[in-house]
Amino acid sequence: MLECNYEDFVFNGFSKADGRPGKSSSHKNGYNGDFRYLRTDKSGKNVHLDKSDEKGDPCGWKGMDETRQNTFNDALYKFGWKDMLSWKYNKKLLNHSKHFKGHHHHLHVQNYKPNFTIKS
Amino acid sequence: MKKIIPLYILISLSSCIQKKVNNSYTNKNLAEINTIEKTVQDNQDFIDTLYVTAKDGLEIRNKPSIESSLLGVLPYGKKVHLINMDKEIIHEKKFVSIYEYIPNDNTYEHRVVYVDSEYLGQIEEIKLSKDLLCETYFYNTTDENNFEDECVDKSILKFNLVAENKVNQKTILSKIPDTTYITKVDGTLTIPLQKSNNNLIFKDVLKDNDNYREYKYYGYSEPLNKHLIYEAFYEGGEFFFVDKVNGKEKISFIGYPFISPNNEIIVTFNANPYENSGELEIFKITSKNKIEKLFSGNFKNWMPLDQDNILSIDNNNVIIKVLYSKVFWNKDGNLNSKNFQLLKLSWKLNLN
Repeated sequence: MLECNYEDFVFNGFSKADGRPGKSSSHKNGYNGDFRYLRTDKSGKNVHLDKSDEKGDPCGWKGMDETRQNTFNDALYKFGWKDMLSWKYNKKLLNHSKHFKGHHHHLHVQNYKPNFTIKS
Repeated sequence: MKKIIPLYILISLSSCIQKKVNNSYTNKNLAEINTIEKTVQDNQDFIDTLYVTAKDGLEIRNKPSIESSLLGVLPYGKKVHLINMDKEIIHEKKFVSIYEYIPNDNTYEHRVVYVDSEYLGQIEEIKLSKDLLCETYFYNTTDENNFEDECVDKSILKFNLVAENKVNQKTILSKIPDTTYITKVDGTLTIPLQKSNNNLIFKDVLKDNDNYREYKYYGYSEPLNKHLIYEAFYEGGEFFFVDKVNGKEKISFIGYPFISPNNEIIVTFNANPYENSGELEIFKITSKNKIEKLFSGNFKNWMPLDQDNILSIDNNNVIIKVLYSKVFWNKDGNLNSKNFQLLKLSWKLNLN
């Protein structure tokens, strides 16, 4: 987030939110997270990529700041989140992301593999 | 001893250098590698994306030589990113440079490593084989036995891959018919109860947090006398039945519940994108229309392509489109929908 220097992130937690029983605890390990998509008006309000409206809450993909969102995705990827679930909008997918149902209103990041060295 | 160690290292280094020269691996190339390693940290300078085709996995080497140190093994179907390197070396020795996450002692990093290009191929080459179908992360049965990292016992379930032309197209799909009298107005689903003036009400909550709920009416099952509803959560969702008479009974399913023609079995599937796994649940329907879970499992190697549509179901088998879990998505992030295979699942479950 510091890499992008944006101020309108809306972060919805690093956990799995469906609460369904029988799921792996790996969803709640603190490494998977959810973010609202970034808007051109920088309001921090909702974006639903299955809609096209430019304004409103939620707005559609026309209201998403595609450039800033892709820059943010690049930064997440660079710092170790190698897998992202998103939504195909206007025949496009955001950088590093895969299309999956239920991700029209948020970006899910997972598969955290940062570069690091353990010093003893 | 202090003198022996440096001497050994020197011998090893000279040996490595000799091998590099023999492999036409010049200092110029070494400099290129160092440059690329630095560049790749900031830019994903990939020239191609391929997949591991070696069934037993593909060895990762520190340098483009079979004699170079072994860093690990990539599993079958693993997607790899090729890095732009000297083409001459690639063709001569068959090794290609890829960018991979390498845990090594105390260091965990993405770096340029080498694999034999003979065992890399296109996504279409990656297919499920029968032996991969039964492997689970866990599964549970009715007698409350829990199994982890095991194949499902063949006495319970059998898995096969079948050709599309072998599927009995006359088998009736078990879809629960929709009704016209249940409607959703302004985010509220209202379902009238039988023998009561009360209604069941499900109201959408479209807040992007754990409280997110969105409901969709799917239909009414006459044999079960139950309504089927889908409840979407912030991530994922589930189907559930509610009794048409009292509305109190709520039985949840991971995916669309397919009912066998004899009304004794319900099968549901779910593609889990967080673990890249396939989920399966099987229920029995008792004579009093009670629904009890017989089996649940999380499968390592396959994911249902479209869990809301199966090809066929009879009283002992179901056929569904699946993909090998490592190639569920294409390299561009879209579902790999053209590369599916047909999984035939047969059950021998205790229905008593």
